[in-house]
Amino acid sequence: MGMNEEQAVVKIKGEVDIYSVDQFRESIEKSMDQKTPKIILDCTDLSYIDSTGMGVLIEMRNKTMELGQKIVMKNPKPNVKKLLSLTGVDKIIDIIENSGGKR
Amino acid sequence: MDNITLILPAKPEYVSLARLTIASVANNMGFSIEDVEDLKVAVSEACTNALSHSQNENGSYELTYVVDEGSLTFTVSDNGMGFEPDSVMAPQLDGEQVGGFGLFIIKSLMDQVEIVSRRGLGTSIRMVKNRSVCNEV
Repeated sequence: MGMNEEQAVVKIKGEVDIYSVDQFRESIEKSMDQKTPKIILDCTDLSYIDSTGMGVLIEMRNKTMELGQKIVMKNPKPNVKKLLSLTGVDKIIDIIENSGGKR
Repeated sequence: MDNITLILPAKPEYVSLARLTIASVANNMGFSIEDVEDLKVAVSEACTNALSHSQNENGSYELTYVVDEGSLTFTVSDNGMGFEPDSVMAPQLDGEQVGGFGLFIIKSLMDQVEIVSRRGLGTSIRMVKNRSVCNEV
């Protein structure tokens, strides 16, 4: 996990499914403790995610919102984006591409 | 037509095995990269459902593939507690709901979905994905 004054960065690697979802939740929760206004989930190396991960994303988005923090997903692969769109998660969590520009 | 059957332990660590096998079968059949990704998600969602219905961790569930010329049919069957498929409502997509997306995702990604579930006897989800004609080399 990297951090500067404004944002914490969590690198999400590999696959998020029913087996790894608790670890996924824990790594986001850990970054929330840094109390930065922004938490970047770097999804460059995230190869797979399913509804178990979507559930945690929604849960964490709601939790951070209550604490005045904000989750942003960076550089998700097309298959990840498809699921984000299907479940409406892309409507409630901002997604940025590698260049840093908003989608 | 080829048939493949896997018996998987009802443990979370083996859901990735379902993804590996479906990716291999679908790649061999010539499905597009996007379709293979959709198949991986669909099989995982069905396996995740089977696990959540399972009543003991020493249980198992069955995954079968039927490889046909133009389509892949796969079925995930558990002998768990069962549910009423008609009682499953479409999820709210507004951030209020954090679960219950599995069946909705499967139905969105697959061409045909059939659910047979009996209280106390188990659930079987049968999914079909048709191979679209594409010109990928």
